[in-house]
Amino acid sequence: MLGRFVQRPGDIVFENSDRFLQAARLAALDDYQILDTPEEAGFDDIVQIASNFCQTPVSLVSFVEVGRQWFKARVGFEACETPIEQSVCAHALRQTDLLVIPDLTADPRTRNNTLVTQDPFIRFYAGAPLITPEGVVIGTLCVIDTVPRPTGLTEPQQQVLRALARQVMMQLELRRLVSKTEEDAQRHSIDLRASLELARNAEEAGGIGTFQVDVRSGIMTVSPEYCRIFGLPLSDTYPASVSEALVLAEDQSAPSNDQTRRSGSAEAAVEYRIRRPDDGAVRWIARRAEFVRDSSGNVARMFGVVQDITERRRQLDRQHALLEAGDRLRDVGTVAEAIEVASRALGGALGASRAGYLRLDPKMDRVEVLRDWTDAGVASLVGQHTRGLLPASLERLAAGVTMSVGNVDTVLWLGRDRDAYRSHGVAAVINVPLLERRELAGVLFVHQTEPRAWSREEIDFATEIADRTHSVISRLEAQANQATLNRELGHRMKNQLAMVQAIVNQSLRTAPDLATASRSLNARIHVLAKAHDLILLGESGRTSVDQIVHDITLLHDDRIEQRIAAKGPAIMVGSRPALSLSLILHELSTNAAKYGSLSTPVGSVAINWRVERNEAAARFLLSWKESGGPPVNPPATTGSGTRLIRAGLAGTFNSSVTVDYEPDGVRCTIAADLASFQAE
Amino acid sequence: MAHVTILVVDDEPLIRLDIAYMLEDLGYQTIEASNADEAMQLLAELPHIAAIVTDVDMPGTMDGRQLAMTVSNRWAPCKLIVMSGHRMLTAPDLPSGAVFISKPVPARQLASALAGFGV
Repeated sequence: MLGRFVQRPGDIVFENSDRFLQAARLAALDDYQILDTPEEAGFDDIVQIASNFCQTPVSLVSFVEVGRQWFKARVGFEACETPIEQSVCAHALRQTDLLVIPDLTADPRTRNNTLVTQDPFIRFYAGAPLITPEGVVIGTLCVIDTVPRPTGLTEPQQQVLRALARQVMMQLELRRLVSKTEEDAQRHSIDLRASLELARNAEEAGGIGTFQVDVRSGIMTVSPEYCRIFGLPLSDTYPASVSEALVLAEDQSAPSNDQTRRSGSAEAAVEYRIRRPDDGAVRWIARRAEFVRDSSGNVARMFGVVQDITERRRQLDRQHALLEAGDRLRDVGTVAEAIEVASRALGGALGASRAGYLRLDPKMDRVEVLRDWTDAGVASLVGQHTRGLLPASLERLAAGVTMSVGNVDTVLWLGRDRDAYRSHGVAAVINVPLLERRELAGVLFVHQTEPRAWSREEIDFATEIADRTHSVISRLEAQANQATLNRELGHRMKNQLAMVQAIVNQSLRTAPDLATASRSLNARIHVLAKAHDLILLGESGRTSVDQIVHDITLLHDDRIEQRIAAKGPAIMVGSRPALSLSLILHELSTNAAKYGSLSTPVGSVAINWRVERNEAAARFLLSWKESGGPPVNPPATTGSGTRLIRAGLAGTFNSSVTVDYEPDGVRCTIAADLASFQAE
Repeated sequence: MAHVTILVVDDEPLIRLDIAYMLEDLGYQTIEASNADEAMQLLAELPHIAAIVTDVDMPGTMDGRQLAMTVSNRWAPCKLIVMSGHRMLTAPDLPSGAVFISKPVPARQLASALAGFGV
């Protein structure tokens, strides 16, 4: 099921603790905004003191990210980061106290580390975990030597290292406080800018400009609000042609002109678009006007009001787009089509530069843009991208939160994402997450090449389009699953019928008369049905060996149950081998009851099974051994039962069934490759 | 027609047995294999196999279609009947001369295919 906030009662989430710790660590590192920042004296002092006091050539403040460890401060070590494979500190992430490794060449965790086996040949390591107030270990303060130290650190050295680690955390907290204050200030200014812009929109929507045209001269007298709406410098009069020239070519038929004013044929109420000369923005204008005629009935003046209705038009456009997208989404047949419809609706209605869908594969390190819509001159992002492209954004989105950014340059938490956005020409963005079983499965995105203050309505519009798209995608996926299921059921059905047909043929073929045939046929079909019940009852279509042994032998005759001693470990069986095993046990029981040990009151059967493992593979082995019955004579001809038994286990690999007519009782041995015996 | 041996390959024992019975009723001798690998082994040991009747979907290193291709390359005189309940195979999927029969296999169709081969 898909959905952005899918949380059903009864859902159980198993947190992988490693992953959980990693996520907590990355979140904390992000929060401190420490990675890839320049050197700072506060941290440099700490490694200097640590190295002096512990008398080691190297000391580092190391933060462990995903693929690397990065050093905020370092003494005696050149690189400012190393791949995670070279990190000894990574082993300290689960520590709550010092990790001391006296000889790195002797410790299995580190003896193959290339910093140990190659230059600089490090030998001794002691690290104190850097623990946030929430208890998350984000890295270490460590000291490193190039000779082993069998006795580790002295007690005072240990104390100092712990204390200095706490100092590192103090420094981090201080930095965070300072940057929070800065960020708040910055956010405040963004808010202010955004609200100014929104205020202007509101004023434009509500503000009414007035005008009056002298028809003979074509001179317009206008109000200051009129000038503002049309983006003209303040003036009391303009030639009417100035305003007319601002109207977009495609809307030229709407406004009045000299001729329509003279004849009085100009429309009383029109809507048209202009390009505002002051900022180049395209705006929708509504104009209403009336004519004043002179005594001879000629039009003397036209006067009226103008209003900027851009926001209202956009809202209508969005509602229309939403309805239309909803209709079209209902008819799509594939996920790709759904994404195309959604991208077009989003991009078109929001007047965006680009809109599309980013799909995440939880197993892969890559993300993919399946389809997108782009404005003229904007490059498409369709194709594969690395997941590391937008770490900060994806982390927020994974929490199910829609993100909107008006200007990527001014939002601090974006961190390294900023470069990725910039490199794809994105200045403003809306990202709506799509969660699947609480994992981020995709992101519906809207991009703008210029900064843009997204309004609440625009963000809501994106969310609504996303909701509709998500429900369509989940419907399509459910349909695909159902189709697979139907096909699978069809195959099973056909297989079942083929088996029944085979049983019928065999029972009829070998029986001496119809009554006998009917009896053995009924019994065999019954066994098949019984085995089927067991499989259906079992989890994911499987059952266990002891269930089969118990049910099939019991089915045969409950009085003889005590004479059948069955023993073996709990082993699951796939559905096809389970059916075969049931039939074989049934035939063995039938033969035993007719001719073998169960045909006398004192005979018995021992059934034992086990798994035998060697270096190559594991095998399932089951033995059936009769004893206490009449002396055994090998049958002269092979009956249908025996042939059924020897036919073996369906669906298994390297299987064998042997029947030996030993004088003291029939012995049957069944063997099969365990993996195929258990496979579904 | 005595001593004409046909190899039946199917991982479902009941169906394999059923086909074997049908062939025996038609007067052939049968040997059985539960997958392509076993079949290849039998072919190597017993050169007198006149025809193979094989299922398509089977576990092991080859499926029945690959088995048919391999046999047609290595043991050209050996006739091939390929059967499946899941899919319809057409000429391009099969080696030339091979016959496809949809499961469940009617004895009549089996008989006429073998008669057509002249075995």
